[in-house]
Amino acid sequence: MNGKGQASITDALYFLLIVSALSVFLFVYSMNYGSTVADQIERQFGQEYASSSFRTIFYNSTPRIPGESLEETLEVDYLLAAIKEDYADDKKINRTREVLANNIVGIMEPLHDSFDYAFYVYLEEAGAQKFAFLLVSLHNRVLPEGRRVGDYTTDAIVYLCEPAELTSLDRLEAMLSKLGTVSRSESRMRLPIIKESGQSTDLVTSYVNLAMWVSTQIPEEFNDLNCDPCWIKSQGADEWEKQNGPACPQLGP
Amino acid sequence: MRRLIIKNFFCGLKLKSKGFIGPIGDDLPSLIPLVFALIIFFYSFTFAWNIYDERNSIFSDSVDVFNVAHAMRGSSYISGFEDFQENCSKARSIKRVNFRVGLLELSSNPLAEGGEHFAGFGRDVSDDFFDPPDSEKFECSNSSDDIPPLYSLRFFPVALQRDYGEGNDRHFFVKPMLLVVITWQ
Repeated sequence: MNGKGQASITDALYFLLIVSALSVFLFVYSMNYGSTVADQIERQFGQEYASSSFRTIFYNSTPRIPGESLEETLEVDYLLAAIKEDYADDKKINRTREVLANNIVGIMEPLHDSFDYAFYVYLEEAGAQKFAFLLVSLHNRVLPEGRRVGDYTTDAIVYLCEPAELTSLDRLEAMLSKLGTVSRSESRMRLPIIKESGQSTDLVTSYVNLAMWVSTQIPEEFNDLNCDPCWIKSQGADEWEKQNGPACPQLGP
Repeated sequence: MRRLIIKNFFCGLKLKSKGFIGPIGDDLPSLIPLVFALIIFFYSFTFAWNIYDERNSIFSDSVDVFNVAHAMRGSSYISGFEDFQENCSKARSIKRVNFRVGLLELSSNPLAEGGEHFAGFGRDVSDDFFDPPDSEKFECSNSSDDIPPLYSLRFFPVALQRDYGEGNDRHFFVKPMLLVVITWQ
């Protein structure tokens, strides 16, 4: 009889062991359940936000006379048309630089607290890739003098860049590849160039990109992009403070 | 003979009573881990089921938000209030979920000195939906209920075409807006 009792308690302990193992498996599985789907949904949101922003930026209007409001002015252009017109004469986006930056930052404002982004236009000229416009918005953690380690403040900085090297696109891509999940939207845009005779125009194909990612430490490749901080918003400040770097717009309001 | 019967009786009694306290009583100690194992199993099963149910509900809400947002957004270009209403009718065909959608103004000059800024929004966002003087409020809903404490929210930028001015001053322009989509069960 003792033997029978011992056998049944051993069976019960084995049963407990198996059930415990199953429960641990069930617990771990349920804790991880759907994490891939949740990631996929967030990626989808990022992708759709990037794609919507992209379209909105180029559908937007801009007044022909800088500084006037859209309601008051009598002449308005699509921003896309204004950029093309700006590029046509000197192969540079310079007069519409500030308007474009304003539109990009305005549209990205709802996500601005937690996302960084880059907006760039590049094209191939004589077999080499060249940036016509490159804006990068980042959050920079700074440790003010006299503060303890960990007592950081976060400044938002909008950079405009004029990369000198022909391999800059590779450097930018290398930077983006190190930033985790990057939501991107890309489109082609035909830019006109007025010929030297002034009688006709050539068309070059450019590529417009918007890439956004959850704010994180920026890889060192960023330093190779020759960027100047053009607007800085300190933590808690309401207004952007304009800077005067060489790549920053000097015209406009 | 009488002695043998008594001996056998006592021997039998002795054998049967050695550690034996009945068919259930004998297995009583083994029932403790069995019951404990069953409790663990049913607890973890219920826990897993709740997590499964809760997360599936969240995913379903997310898909519903995307569906409503797709219907309302179209190609991200809204050519006026009529176009917004047309998209609203399409969104109302989605029956599985209650929703409220509207447009908020985005700034097109946040970097300028004294420029406008996006103010953000909370649960009473519908109070701030774009309500121009020359047209109705840009708001669409399939429910007159208040937004409950548990809701899903997504937002996407869109371009809104606006007609402005009268007579010779009449012109149209395109402004950036934020399409805010709130859904609940």
